[in-house]
Order: sequence, then C-alpha cells, then structure tokens
Amino acid sequence: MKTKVVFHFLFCCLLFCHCTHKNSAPKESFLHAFIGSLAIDKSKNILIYTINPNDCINCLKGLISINEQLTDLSTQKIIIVSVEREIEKRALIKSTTKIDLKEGLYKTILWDKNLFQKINLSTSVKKEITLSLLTVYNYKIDSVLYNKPIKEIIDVSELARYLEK
Amino acid sequence: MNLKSFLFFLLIGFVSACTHKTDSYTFEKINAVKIDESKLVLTRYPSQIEEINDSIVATVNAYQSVSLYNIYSGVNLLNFSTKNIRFDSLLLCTFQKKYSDTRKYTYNKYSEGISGEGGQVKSFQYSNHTFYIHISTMAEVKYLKDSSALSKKTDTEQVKQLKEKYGAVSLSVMDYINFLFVTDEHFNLEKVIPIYESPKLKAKNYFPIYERAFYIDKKNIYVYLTKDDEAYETMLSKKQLQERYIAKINTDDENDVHYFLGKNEIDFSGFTIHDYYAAPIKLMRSNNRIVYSNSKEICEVESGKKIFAKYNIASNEWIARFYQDVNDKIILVNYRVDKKKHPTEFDVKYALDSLHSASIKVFDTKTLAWVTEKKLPALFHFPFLVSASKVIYFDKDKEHYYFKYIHYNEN
Repeated sequence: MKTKVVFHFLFCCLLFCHCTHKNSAPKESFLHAFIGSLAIDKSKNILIYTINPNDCINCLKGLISINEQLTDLSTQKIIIVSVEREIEKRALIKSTTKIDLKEGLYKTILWDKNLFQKINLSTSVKKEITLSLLTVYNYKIDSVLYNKPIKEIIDVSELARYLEK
Repeated sequence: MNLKSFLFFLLIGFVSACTHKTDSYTFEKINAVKIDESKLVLTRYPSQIEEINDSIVATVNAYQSVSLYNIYSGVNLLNFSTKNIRFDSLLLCTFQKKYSDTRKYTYNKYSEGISGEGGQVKSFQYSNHTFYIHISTMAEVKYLKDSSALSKKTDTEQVKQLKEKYGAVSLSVMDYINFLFVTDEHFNLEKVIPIYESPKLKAKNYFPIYERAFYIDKKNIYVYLTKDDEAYETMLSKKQLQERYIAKINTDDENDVHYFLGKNEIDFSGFTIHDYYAAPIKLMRSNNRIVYSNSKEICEVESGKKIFAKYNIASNEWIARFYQDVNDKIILVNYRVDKKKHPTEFDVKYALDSLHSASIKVFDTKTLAWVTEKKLPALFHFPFLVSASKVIYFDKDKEHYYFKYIHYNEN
C-alpha cells in the first residue's frame, strides 16, 4: 500500500514538473519566424515596407521619395501591401505607377492585410497597425533597429545608416 | 381552404414578419445589393454617400473617385477621378498667379502617392444637378516675401531638432492646396474654384477644414472652422470652445467672411480633440435652410435656431446622419460608443473606442419627444445616408462589398 502511494506521489510530481517545465530557449518572435520562412539573404539588415494603399496623402507622399533615395543600396527589401482581396491586388498592380511592385533580386512583395497588421503589431512600439511604416530588421539578433511611420520620416540618411551596416 | 389560399396567407405572414411596425412608422426588411466593381475596385468602405435621386447614390471611394451607383442593382454607372487633371498647370494659373509677388508654387510629383493620381477627392456636395467636388493636393511653396507665413511653417520642434543636428538646413515647405471642381451630373467639368486662404480668418487664427464639412450656396461657401493657435497633448485632450464654428466665405473675395454659430447656439462642451476632428458632422440644405450638425446637436446656420438639442441623446450617443422631413420630424441614425476595456497604445493615441450599437430613431421637433426606434444589426459600418424614404449603409464579406438599404414610411 505504502509503495503504491509513493509511486502515485512520484508519478504526480513527474507529471506536474513536465506540465510546468519551461523551455529555457527564448520563444521565436513572429517576425523572426516569418523572415526565416523566406528564401532571402538574411546576413544583412533587412528593409521592410508595410504599405497601406489607403493611407492619407501625407502618409504616402514620402514613400516614393524615400524609395528613390534607397534604390542604390543592395539591401534586401520586403514589401507587404495591405490588400484583402485578389481583385484589389490586381487593380493596385494596374494602377500603381510610382513604385515598382514586381519581385526582383533583392525584393520580395507580399499582398496580405493580415500579414501587414501582424508585422506592424510586432515592429511598431506604438502599435500603429494601420499606418504605412518603414522598418529595419536584423535577422541574426532578431531585433527591430528602426521603425517609423512613413509620414514621420524627415531624415532618410538616418534610415540609410542602418542599412549600410 | 385550398392550397392557393394557404400559400397566399403564408406569403402575407412572411411579408409581415419581414417588416418591423412601430406605432407610427414601418421599417421594411434590410436589403443587400452587391456593389459592381467591374469599373472601380473598392479597397475600403466609401467615406461619403449622398442621394442623387430615388435610385442613384454617389459615393467617395478611397479618396480617389466620386462614383455613381444604382442602389437597386449595384451597378457602377460613372466615376470621376483626378487622373487626367494636370495639377502643375492648374497651380500656375490659380495659386501661382494669385501669389505671384510673394510665393513660388511647384507641383511635387511625390504628392501623387503610389497610384500617380495628383489629387485626393475629399468630399462632395450635390445640389441642383451639380457636383461640387473638393479636391486636395500638395505643392512645394517657397515664401519669397512672406516671412510671417514662412515662420509659421518652420518654427516647429522638428525643424529646431534638425537645425541642432545639422546646422543650416534647406527646407522645402509642402502645403495642402484645395480646389472645388464643379461638374454637371455626368461629371463634365464646368469650372474649377481655387480655395485661397482667407487673410481675415488667418488674422483670427481660424483654419477652415473643408474636408470635414462644407456647403456651397451660390457664391458663398460655408465651412467648418478650427483654431490653429491651440496646442493639445493627446487626442483625448479636451477641445477648447471657440467663439465661432462656421464661416461663410465669398468664393470671389476671400476677405468677404461672415461667422456663424457660437457656443451659445451649438454645444461642443465635453468634446475631445478626437471628437472634434473625427465625429460625423454635416453641413447641408434641409427644408430650404442651411443646417449644421456637430454630431450631438443640429442647428440652422444663419439664424442659429436649434433644431435638435444634445440633452435628447445619451452621453455616449452620437448622430451619424439625419434627415429632416417637412412635418418637423427628424429621422436619425444614431450610434453609441464604449471605452475599450484593454486599449492598446495605438487606441489611446487615436482615441479609438468600441462601436456599441446603432439605431434608426425618429424625433418629433414639435413635441420634443422620440417617436420610434429600430435597432440596426450589431455589425455596421460608416457612413450612413438617411433620405426621405430609406436608410442606406455598407457591408462586406470576404469577396464583395454591399449596399444595405431599409425603406421606411410613416403610417
């Protein structure tokens, strides 16, 4: 009888320990897992554009000029465009003349409103989930080095410095 | 009872079940009509809807077009956009000509966003078979001999920080430039009215916000005012009361200005900055008078006569849209908001509350009493339109956008 009780006690302890055991390895961030799933060069800092085509005129006017100023850098770019439906994606590709939304050597384009919101949620300190943002991310250390709404970027050289590293 | 009679009574029963009768008003069932996107794809809910006639409405879509739709078929009949407008030329013959001695205007291609469209369609008015479409764009402005105007733009904290960091900095000032495009009902352009700043308004630190509310009446434009000399910490800061809320400006002479509606006529007490800039306000013609709603009250603009007072609604209740009939009844769509239980920093920054519920309500201005109320389904989206016979709003599912309309009539 005693042996049975001790056995049950040890079994319960083992079960309890197993259930409460915390993984000592840090949990992988959403952004790290997402970037990890892409077949891109992750050795350098990555520039992430999250673009909401419905942003205000003032929110998007800087995008084109910033993009033009950064074209010479051989930086890996990921552009996530907030669209909900395939029909919206097709219409936007047709109507967009000021920024190249085609895939390229250093450029990945993704069309997804949920992804747009998830990335903004994980990169924006202020949780500005609906705004068009620019983010510089380092995959190796899983860190956001720079993040600002496009309308607040007045100094592109500051952003470019993060990309040259 | 034969089968035909049975089916007839079954049909009567079905129709009765689909209508909501109150003592004095009948509300038909809610109809949904798929919106045609063959000519224009919607990327968000329209920001404005107005009735053109019993079957046609006009909407502002994604700030890029004014679109006409048949409400019963959903067909997109016609679209107006700024795609073919040469804003550089337009600037030269309007603003540059007007301020030739003191300012240099340069149209900036970066104003065009990602689509390359030069202007944004902010809002419109439809009256007497004419559209008045408010278009806003941006231009680089060099203030050559206008140091007071320049200092207002450059004496900011951001510019000070830049100067501290880099020493001398070359700044290009981007200004919003506003026009009214006047078209017929087929969107044939008749004229363009540039909206110049009014020195009289500026002297009193009033700033007209055309995108929030305007109404053009012959040569005069009524517009919603704010003050540009007030500082606030957050969107939840309390809005300071103004001496006046509406200006009437002569479109031929921007110095010809009259002010209307002060704090004695319309109540803004308790408004936060967010309420002042985001609540659904309206300037419109109603029963041959220009009326204004600040989303809590409704007043006649010129006489200041109050049509609907704030104490008739709950503190968390707001007017989304209204229609005043000839029998002194007001049909309103009102909504209620609640504070979010766990707001994010973004919610706090932009003062985003939860939408609680919306109802169609009828108020009798003679007896000052509510006549009836019909609750709308829990999921609803702005904007609303209330006309003489129906309430229209929008909905969407994964694939399509829809018009939803409810016919109503007084028994």
